[in-house]
Amino acid sequence: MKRSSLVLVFVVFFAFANATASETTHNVNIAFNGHCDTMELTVSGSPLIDVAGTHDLSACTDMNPNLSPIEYVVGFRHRFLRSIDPRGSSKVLDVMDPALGYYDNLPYALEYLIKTDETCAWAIYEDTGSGHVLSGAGTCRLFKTGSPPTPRAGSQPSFETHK
Amino acid sequence: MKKICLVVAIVALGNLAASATDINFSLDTFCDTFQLTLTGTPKVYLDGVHTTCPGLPNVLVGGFLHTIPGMGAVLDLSDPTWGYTEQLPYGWEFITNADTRQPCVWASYLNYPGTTNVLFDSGTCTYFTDVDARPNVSSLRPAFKGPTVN
Repeated sequence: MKRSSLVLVFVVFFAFANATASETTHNVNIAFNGHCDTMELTVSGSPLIDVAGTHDLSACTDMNPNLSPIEYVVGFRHRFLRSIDPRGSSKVLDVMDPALGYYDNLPYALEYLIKTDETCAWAIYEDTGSGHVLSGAGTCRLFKTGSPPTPRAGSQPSFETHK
Repeated sequence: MKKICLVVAIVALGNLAASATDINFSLDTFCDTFQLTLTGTPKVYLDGVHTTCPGLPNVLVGGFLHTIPGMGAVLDLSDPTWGYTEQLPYGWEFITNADTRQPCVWASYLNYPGTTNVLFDSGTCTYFTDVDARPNVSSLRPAFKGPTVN
């Protein structure tokens, strides 16, 4: 009887722990329309503000084979001005990306602002010496984890739109 | 005459809103300095230079002023150091308090496991107006060499 009570306590504990975990984490997987790259992000924490995940360029051609096609990105989910691209929803996934330093060997910051609440839209900002400048924007679509859509042949990564 | 005064006032207000604010700080116990400018209308666009240590390259950083629950208004910076200097595909982010009347504090977040927003390091910082007036920091290490990263 004691053992069955102990098992029951464990079952209840793990059920509660799993329920709590599912409430404090969710995945946002984004394919950039017209581009070859995707992001698989996890939003976690309490409150739900910590953003981390991968920027996957493995479907892109012309990548340096000596470099990893997967970057690790980091950021926060927060409220922001609707007037700043991508316009619309006030909640953004604000993601720091090492791509310009890692792939292009440039000492420039790169930041993605992504909105998925209403429509999926994104904008990128770069720092090349003349301010924090909007350098690209577009729409996106969501996909299930591990099932990214096939990109259009010959399409470029989203951060190369300005070149 | 009244109309001219009104136009002058509007232009002056516009210039005031659009004027840039410089925010310079150094990370205490590290050799890093940040020389940033806050611009835009509203004034939320942030950009500038992250100077690490003698012999290491400077990088251009940027981001936005915004609020984060529990932290209030912050300066949120994307930093390309790990990609550019270390040739590692890790996103790095600096957060500092936006109210420069308060003591300067900072935290940096790094995604090196691939799945998690890791608090990489944090500490206090010091605002300055003249970078040349800063004491010699050549014996200090750069912030990206902080905790061990496997």
